[in-house]
Amino acid sequence: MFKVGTYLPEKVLLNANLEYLGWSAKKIFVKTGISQRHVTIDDETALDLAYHACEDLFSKYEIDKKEVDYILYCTQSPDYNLPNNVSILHKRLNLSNNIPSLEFNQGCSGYVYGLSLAKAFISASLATKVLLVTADTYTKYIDYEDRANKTIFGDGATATLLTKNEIDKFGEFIFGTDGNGSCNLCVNNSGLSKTKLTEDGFEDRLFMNGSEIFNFTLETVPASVEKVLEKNNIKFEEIDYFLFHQANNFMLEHLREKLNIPKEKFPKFIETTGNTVSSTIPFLINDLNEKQILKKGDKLLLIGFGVGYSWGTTIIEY
Amino acid sequence: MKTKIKNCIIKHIETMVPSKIVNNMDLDFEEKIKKKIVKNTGVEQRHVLEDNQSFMELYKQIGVNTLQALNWDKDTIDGVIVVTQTQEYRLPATSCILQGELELNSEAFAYDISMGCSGYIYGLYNAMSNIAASSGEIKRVLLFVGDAISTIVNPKNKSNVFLFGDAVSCTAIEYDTNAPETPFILKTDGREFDNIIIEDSGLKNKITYSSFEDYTDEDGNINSKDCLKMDGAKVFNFTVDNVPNIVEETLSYSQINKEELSNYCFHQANKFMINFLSTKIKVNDKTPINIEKFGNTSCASIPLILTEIKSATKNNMLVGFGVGMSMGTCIVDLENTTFNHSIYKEQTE
Repeated sequence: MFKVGTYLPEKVLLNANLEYLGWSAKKIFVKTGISQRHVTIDDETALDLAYHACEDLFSKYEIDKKEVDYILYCTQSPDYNLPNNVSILHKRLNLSNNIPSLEFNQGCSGYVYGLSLAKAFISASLATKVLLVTADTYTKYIDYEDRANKTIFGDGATATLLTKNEIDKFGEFIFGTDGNGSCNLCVNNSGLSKTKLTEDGFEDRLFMNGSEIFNFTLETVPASVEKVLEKNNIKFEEIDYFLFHQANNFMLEHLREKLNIPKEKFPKFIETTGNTVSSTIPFLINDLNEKQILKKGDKLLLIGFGVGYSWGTTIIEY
Repeated sequence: MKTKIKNCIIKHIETMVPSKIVNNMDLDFEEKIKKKIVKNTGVEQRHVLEDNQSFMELYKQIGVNTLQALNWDKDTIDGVIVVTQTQEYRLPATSCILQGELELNSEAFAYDISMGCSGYIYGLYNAMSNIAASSGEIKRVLLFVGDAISTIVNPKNKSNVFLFGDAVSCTAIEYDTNAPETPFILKTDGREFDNIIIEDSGLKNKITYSSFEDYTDEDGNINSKDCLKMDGAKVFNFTVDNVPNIVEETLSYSQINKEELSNYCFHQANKFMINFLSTKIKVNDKTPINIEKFGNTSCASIPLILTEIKSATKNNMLVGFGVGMSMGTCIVDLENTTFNHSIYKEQTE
């Protein structure tokens, strides 16, 4: 069982709202599998979304937040460069004082990284109840005229509570990194690399080389799926559900076909949210929770892949 | 939260600073002010990046040096962690770029941690727990810890400009079943998150031209919103209230006597603070200080002390505290550790 809370900003951007980019609403849907995405308004940040996702988790599952003894926060959309945002989240949630907290920067592979960190912390008895939070607002980095990114990405946040019960059912993890692809998905003019200032601030705009990312994914993901099955000594057929990072429908379908995964074992959750980066997998799990699809003992293969390039995969028993 | 981590040994610590040195007495302030600040902070000079110098180049060179020092093949590295608050880009993570630059194994994990003055302790903790939890599958991790705080300090701000220097460090950690346990204590107190902050740096407050305009704060100090703002008095109070306790707690948790410790390596915040802490804890003779040469180098200050004293001894307590507010301590065995410090040299093709 995975206890997941989620939050989407209220503002919705329909495909019809994006027709100014030159594609009809229908064409956008056909190309991406996305019919709408939630986007933050100006004074709403990833940290706000993260806060609401945690509150959703606590209220939905009647969790006493004072029992949380480690907070992990994955974001690439910080409120401030310093202090780290997890300290602020710690305060806003009014969690127990003096618990350790950690903020890490990862994108589409971030949730899987978070699970492995939680496993490491719980198995080393540093923590018993880890709150793993993912939140990003890529839409703030996307240029008004950028059709490819504007149609794909949405904002959102999730919060997952992990205890010994869950991590005992985590299998082995596989991670990978290829920094040679770092410039293919990047926010230029940000961090120390920022140089160009305009009246509207730094031109910190998301750049994505879609075809390079596509090639990388088709090469890396199937090989990693094979490796993680082998490492966990589990057969392909034994996997009940393949929970992939929800990049876009086009990519997902290519991967599904290449790997010969039956449709019923390949749930998706992208149509109403778009690609929410590190939050796509927990959004998907939350959706399956709500539909009561997952059963105790189901074997789930999780894989996140993208910006970095970075990828991570594991097999868990629900 | 407390834990003891098994099976991890620190093999090597490498540190590096940029070649440009700024002598604080050369800064454009009144002679009297300069003397007073230098005396209080203890900082005489600092190494800082040149304008437009790449911080990534320092990371890269220190990584190469570390691999060479240990004669480690780059394919044997199982993970890269970067702890910083001055990353190259919002995304991707600096650790991913570094994996590519150093041509490390593509099966290595890589992630960045956003953390300041307590960052070295959290970084060690993460690297070690990644190794320990993998039951030996992850054998070698490179932990990069470094900040370029000089890039985020307003040059007219007299509280900060004398204080901060730039530095990077690389710590090589290896799986070793004979390694002694490393005790850690980690804490967060987000209630005082705005004691140290850069207001216009992320997505909360939009960075505009006005972010770069100088203003005068209530103490008469010049600053701008794109730069570091620090409430020195509050930071001092937090430190005094919390650090002596966490040191005592670490001693009792590890069951090591005060006398058995060879060093207490405090984050080099400023000389006044370090002296205050070491006097209060009564460990003056075991508290190395090198802030006069490097300034406060944020998360890199503890490794910078370690490569300075090169103390290959059993019990070294490391104490990080600051921005967040966040604290961490550990006691590391450095008996078999090698150390190297160098100044960055431009690579000529």
